[in-house]
Amino acid sequence: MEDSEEIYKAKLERLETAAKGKEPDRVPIGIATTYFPAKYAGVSYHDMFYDNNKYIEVGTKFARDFNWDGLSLLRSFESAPLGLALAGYDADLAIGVAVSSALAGGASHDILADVYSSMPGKELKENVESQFVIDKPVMNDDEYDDLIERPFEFLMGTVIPRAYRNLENLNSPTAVGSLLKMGQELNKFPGFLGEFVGKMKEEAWLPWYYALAPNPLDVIGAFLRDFDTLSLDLYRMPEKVKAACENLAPVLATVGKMTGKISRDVTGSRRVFCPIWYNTYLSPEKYREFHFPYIKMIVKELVEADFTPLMCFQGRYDHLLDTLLELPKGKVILWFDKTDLSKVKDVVGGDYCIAGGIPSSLLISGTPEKVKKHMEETIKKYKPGGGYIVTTEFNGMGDAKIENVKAMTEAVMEYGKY
Amino acid sequence: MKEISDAIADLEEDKVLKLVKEKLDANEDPFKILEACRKGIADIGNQSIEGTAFLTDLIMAGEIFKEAMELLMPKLVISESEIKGKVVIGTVEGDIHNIGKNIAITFLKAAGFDVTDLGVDVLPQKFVDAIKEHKPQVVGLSGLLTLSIEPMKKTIESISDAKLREEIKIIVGGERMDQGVCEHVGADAWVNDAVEGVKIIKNWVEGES
Repeated sequence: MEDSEEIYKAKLERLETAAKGKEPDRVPIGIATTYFPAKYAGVSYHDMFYDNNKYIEVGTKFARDFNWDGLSLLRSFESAPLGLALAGYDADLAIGVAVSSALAGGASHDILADVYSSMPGKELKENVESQFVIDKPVMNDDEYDDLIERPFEFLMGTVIPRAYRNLENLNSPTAVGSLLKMGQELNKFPGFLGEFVGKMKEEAWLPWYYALAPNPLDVIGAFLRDFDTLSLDLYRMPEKVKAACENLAPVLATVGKMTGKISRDVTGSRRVFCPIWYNTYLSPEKYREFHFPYIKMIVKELVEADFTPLMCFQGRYDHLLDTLLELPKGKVILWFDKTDLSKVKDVVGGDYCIAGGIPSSLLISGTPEKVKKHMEETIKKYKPGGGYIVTTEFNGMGDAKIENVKAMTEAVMEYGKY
Repeated sequence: MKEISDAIADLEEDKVLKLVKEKLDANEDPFKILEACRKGIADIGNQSIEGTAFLTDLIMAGEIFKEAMELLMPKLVISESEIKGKVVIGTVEGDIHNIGKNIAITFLKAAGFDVTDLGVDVLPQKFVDAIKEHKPQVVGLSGLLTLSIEPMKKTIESISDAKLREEIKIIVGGERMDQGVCEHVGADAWVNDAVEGVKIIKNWVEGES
């Protein structure tokens, strides 16, 4: 029996080889899932979200039993705007604040009372996955100039009080007290991180990703405006949207590099998750005007700093495939949800690593036999020549059946060997 | 009037509103202006089905249509007989996303449907009650997330238990929908695209009459 250190090294090598578009020893499997491991371990979603000991218990059990090459168990993002507002003040503090909700559970949601997220056992039932929807815009359409001209002051002074109910009046005892409580929570963060990563490493764990570089348009749509109002802004004030994106891009590239460094130092993974959201909903012209230039800018900076952007094209990318060839060959992982993977392959050929191929609906409503057959066909199709990673739709495991997820995993081991 | 339709399909907000005001000031038939607006919306809907218009474009189109309707409404009295059909729609229990649903509603209304919007995170019983009250031909279940799939199944089961399933068609909409999901939950049709959904609903209802 290999020890966990050797298994870990083999996973690292396997994922990095595939990312270069080459053939590893086996097709790797890397998946991000929020709550499926809780369901598997018989722990409530609420407990997985709020209780760090349960989180570690669930994570280690899942890592041990499924042994995927990459596994991410993220929680939420609601502290991101507060982190962003602090970026001009103290970059390390800003990163700590921003990632605290993603990596360390529900404390920030409760302390700050954000308008973004609904959590299991709080706003939602105990076993419902957390959801992230902005109630109403926290930035008005006449405030783009403020965002462009004095971003951090505007975010802290105007957006933060709207985004967090407990920070509504920054001079109030509630607000100051809440920030002090956040400080106390952040103080626990390095200890938790050390314990989590230490115990997970004993199970030969490697994250699918442990670092994040969002892009400007999606940040504006998810955290400042909302989907509808930003859609209208693209028509009504295109130059202002672009100017705001232009200013945000370097800040977000820095976020990617700083979290990337934490990931590389702590877990060994140089992958930086680049979620891409608006693409599905934009015409090719608008995508090339408002979205892609800034994504490309961030990817370039990450690659230059020796990170591997894990570009998660959520939804559909079928109408935008030609843009992929503008990304650096062998340096990025192209991860797709609903996009037709065979068309992607036709466009990018063997020069890029692609990831995807497992529809959520198959894991939810299929049978182990159907899953196995689908896996056999998919792996057979994309395996030749290397540069393929098995993964699911973004955060798409939802109510997957345990036996189907097992069948998927077994099929990778059975059919994935080179 | 063609100018209005074209300006809507081209998403020229200022131009549409200017034209609508001019026509109203010139005492032109508000129903003809409404028809022109509807045609513009139908055009952009077709572009979306053909893959040349996208959700952000549809949201802009919907906004322009709403603004035009605000100008027209004081002059319009729409009678029962002009209603194409009735649809009850909502985002299923546990899911609070509303973008796809809202686009479907805008386009259904523009196509002349009477739409009852049950909102988001709608319990199965609320769908059952709304079907009893409004007697729609079609029920739309919306959901963005994979976690919406089981609540969709539960909702359709509740509708069947209330012996209402035979009377209506059910369409499920959302990014995670596919044929497998459609069969699993027991719906009549599935769509990833709200405008495609409106087209299916129109075919169902017009096919009946």
